[in-house]
Amino acid sequence: MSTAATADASSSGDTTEGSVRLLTLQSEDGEVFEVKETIATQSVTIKGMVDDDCATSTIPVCNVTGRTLAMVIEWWNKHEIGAVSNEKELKEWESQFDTIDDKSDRDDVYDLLMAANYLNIPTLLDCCTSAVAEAIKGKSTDEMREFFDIKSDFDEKEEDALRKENQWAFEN
Amino acid sequence: MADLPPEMIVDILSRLPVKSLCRFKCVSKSWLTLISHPRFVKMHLNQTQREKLFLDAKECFYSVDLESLSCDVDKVEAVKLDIAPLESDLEVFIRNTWVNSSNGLLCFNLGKCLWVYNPSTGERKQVPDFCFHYRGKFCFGFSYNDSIDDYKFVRLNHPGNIVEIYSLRKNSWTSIQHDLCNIRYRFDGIQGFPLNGAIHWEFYYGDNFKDQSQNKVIIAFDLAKENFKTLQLPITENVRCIVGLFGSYLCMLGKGIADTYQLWVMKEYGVQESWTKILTFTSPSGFPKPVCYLNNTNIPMMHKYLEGLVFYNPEHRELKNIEVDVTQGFLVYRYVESLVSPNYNNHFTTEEKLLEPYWFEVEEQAIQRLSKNTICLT
Repeated sequence: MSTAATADASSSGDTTEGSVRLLTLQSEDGEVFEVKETIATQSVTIKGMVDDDCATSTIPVCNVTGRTLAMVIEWWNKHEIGAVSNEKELKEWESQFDTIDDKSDRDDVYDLLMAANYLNIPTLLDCCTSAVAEAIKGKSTDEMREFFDIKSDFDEKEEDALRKENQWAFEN
Repeated sequence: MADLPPEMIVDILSRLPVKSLCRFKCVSKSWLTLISHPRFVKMHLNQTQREKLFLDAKECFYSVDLESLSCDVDKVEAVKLDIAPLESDLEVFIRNTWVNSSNGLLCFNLGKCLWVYNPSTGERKQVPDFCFHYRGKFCFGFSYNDSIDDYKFVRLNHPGNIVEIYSLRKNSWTSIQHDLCNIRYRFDGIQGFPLNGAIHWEFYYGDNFKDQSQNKVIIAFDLAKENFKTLQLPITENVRCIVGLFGSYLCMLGKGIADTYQLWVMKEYGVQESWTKILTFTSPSGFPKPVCYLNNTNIPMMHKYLEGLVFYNPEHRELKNIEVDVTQGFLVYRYVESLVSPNYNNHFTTEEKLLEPYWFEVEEQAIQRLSKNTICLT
């Protein structure tokens, strides 16, 4: 995840590309990013604004911090058509999301999930959702309760019975 | 992750393997409700297609992860499936097994009984009122049909004109008459191929039972309409052919002269012109049975009873073996990992009770999002 955290958003501010229109996005904490329209419209939400001619001034991206927005922009850049020469390279880059064991990775993915949900970026949402699924599939029930902050509402008897019924799923 | 909206949690859970989900039923009551809910089961099935092979090795059943197979793999591990309570049947009667799989449910007969079994969850059910016949020729098949949201087992006999149909959802039998008088099938216990909500069998025209493709036809029984239609085989020169299922295509393997074989698939279901030859190869040791493409490749995998899994090695232009750690010969069937319960009827009788507004609502959203995603990704 470390490369995502240090995302370089400056490349998107290239104004020399003639007719390419730039959009200005402002994060929740006030950071401003200039992004090519063709890239930013990977977000269904932003595309809707562009289509409705609502993207002429600075677009406030509430609920998303500058740090997270930089990661989102890196994602957009990588997924721009023609940006990455082959599918394999893209998959390798995406594989950094596969391990979210420590807390900072988990926070990053959480932030990205929320941003992808808010901005409606299907590819990013799909990737982060799969990453979380991959990270939790081997967890115990207690670890799951901790992960999602859930309190068990089974009484001891009920839980024992249910565990017995699904005994095989608790074995290695 | 505690603050994730419920629809995102549903989306995450729908991507998990069956084993994790069965464990996570114990997390909380609302998770138990969600994971057992027919809608979630369906969503999970559409989301995660973990494909497996079911190996029937006479005394035991095994499972092989299809993802574990590739061109570089010489040997794969087979996991023995624990179906101990079924084994008492083995002593009672000679095994006469045939298997059909649909959405992760396998249907097979063992002894005099008919079982529906989910190898991913271990859940099973004995089909009631199954009349076992010692003699006579029968065609069997089991499949899901989306338009009626039901699984049906079908048996037709010959000579005779009766089609017996068991509905898993209704948990009951009905029968209708068939009118397949000018076509025949040759052997007892012909297994059908489930595809597109219908079951398919290989039939012969007339009584001469010649094995060339021009003497054969595929009969499809539509589980919703409960009627038959015929599908023609490709016109090609061969001295013998077999019909089957290759991945999710109807296929025909034709044998020419000097041990050469041609594998054909019907690319577009029901369209005669779409029969396409996808492979020509030689196999000195007899007819293989087509299975499916090797994981993420366009290399066809096949199966030989005694030799196990084989695939066509395009570099060396020959069939290559993948060793499976099962000692004796086995039969191979494809299935997907799923949460679908063999007690499908209970699913619906208890559905009202299961519905909890909270999950119900979020599932709807997640399903909608899922379908949106699919559109965007393709």
